[in-house]
Amino acid sequence: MSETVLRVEGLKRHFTLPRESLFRPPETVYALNGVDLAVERGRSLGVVGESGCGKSTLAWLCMALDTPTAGTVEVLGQDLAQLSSQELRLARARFQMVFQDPYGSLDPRHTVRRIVGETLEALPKGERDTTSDAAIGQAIDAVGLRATDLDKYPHEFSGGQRQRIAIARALVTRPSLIVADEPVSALDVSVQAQVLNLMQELQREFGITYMLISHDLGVVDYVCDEVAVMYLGRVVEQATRAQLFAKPSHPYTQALFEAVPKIGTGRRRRATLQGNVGSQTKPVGGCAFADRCPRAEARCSTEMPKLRKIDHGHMASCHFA
Amino acid sequence: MALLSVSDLKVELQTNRGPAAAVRGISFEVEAGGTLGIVGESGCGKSMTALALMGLLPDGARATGRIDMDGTDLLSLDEAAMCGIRGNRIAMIFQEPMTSLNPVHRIGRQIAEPLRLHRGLTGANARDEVLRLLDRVGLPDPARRIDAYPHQMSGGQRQRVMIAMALSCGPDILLADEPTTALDVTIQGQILDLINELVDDTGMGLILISHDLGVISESVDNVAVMYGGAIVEKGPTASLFDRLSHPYSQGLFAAIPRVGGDHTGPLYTIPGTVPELADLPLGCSFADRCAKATDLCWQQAPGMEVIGPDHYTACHHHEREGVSR
Repeated sequence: MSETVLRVEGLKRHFTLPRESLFRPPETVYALNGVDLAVERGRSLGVVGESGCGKSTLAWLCMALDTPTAGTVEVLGQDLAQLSSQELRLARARFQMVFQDPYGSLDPRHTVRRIVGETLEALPKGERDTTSDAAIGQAIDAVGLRATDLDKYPHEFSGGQRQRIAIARALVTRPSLIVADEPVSALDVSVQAQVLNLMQELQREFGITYMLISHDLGVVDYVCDEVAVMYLGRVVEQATRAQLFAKPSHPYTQALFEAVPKIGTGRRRRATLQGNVGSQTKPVGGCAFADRCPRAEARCSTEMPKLRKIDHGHMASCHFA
Repeated sequence: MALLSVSDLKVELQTNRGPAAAVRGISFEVEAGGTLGIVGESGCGKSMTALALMGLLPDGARATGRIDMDGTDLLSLDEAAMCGIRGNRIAMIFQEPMTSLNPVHRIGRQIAEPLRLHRGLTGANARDEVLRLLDRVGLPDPARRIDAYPHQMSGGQRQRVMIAMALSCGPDILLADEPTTALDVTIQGQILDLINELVDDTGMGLILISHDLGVISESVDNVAVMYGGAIVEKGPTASLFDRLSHPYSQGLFAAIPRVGGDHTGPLYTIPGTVPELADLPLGCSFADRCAKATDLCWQQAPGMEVIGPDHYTACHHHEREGVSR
């Protein structure tokens, strides 16, 4: 029986907007509307969706960088909301994050040694002092940088190298879980491949569990064992990679697959979705995708489809799946 | 004769590390109704090429060579003459629809600006024309949206406004620099469909710049692959993707993780990083990252060699019989 590293249950996050009028209540952004997920040790979960689907909010909540409106996040069986701030600080050694923008996420005035070493503050004091130099050296070595790079500043590195530094920073405390929010979308294709390969090597070597957030289905297909597709704050389909890519069942997943530009098909018309992602400020009564869905019927706009099992290890929330 | 013909275009930038050759002698042609895709990674010179065509190069940059449009060399024109062409005969769509619209003006006024400058339309005439354009680019409810500010629109809608603006004077050439990079994938499909439809309807030429091989493959008839300021391979889309000949094009293609791709081994990677423009090697700019590089590559830049109908490659060691996918 393998160990569940990350478990998310009934997770909701609603943000209240600044009041625009004295006579109306302030509006609410329904960013996350009840998400259940679990990732086991050494596995990778991919979260895909378009902007506004709540995937970054989910990442923030899993990293305890924000508090949920309802629901729980458990890392290694510990409910993050129940921890005191001191306990949480120590717990952070076990879960780390890699951000999208390798230019904005590294302090330009710190050396690589300090950037990578700062994460070690999360360790208990005794442990930190005895291991820090060795741990920094190992982390920087694991991501393919040299010891001589430790005293350089971020501006001396290219985008791909900076993302390696960000990964080293996440790796230095030997976390069980790394959440990566669009880790390669700011990188060029040839460099992106280097970083993706590195992430896979590190997973094999250290048994890390990943939650990878990406809009790029190719990246998710390459890295992840399991994939969750999100739309307007809900998971609409979840399956193992093989099942999802072989048999996408939710109309949104199908449209997403269809819209990905493919090489070598020649000029073609895309049977794309019409319209935009719906409003996040109105709670939806029925299926959130109903207004764009080619298969929508009357019941879709009144009755919310449940995320239900449609095959072994394959769940979808659609009345017709 | 081609509508637009670029020959031996060079762009030199002044940087604090000395002059940098951002574009190093590229040539291509676009016919009326023709579509050309320029693909490459950051720093390959694709955006500088677009800015040179528009006469919008940054201060201190110098362009040499020829950009012929109907027998006029655009590089020889002064700023006043270029103003008559920019937005009128050649129009451009930029990557970032957030920053390329003016946030303090209503979109109707912004679309009307080229109509006023180039076509002399004012008042109700201009407004009617703006409404027609907004309807043409598929913006829902144009009569209401014409008075909206950019921040009231989504990214896809803003890009539609940019396209309406670019179309306003019926340009001969539409230059689209990464028009969908900032957009979600389902919206990207809508915008690319719209651009393709407009090209088919109006018969204008299209130059589409993108880093995404998939976008390029689906949208244009001819492709040029750029690296280190030079075109390393160009040809008709089908023939090019059928038979990638330059080691860089092959590497770029192999490095993309694809849905349903091979999961058995690591992804193919091109070692090293994109070169600094200020210190490009003397010979082939790809030599330091290329597995096939020999002494010849370091000393002498390869010329363009024909390897198929309209299919050219710039490599000393390209595979003579080519590789099929």
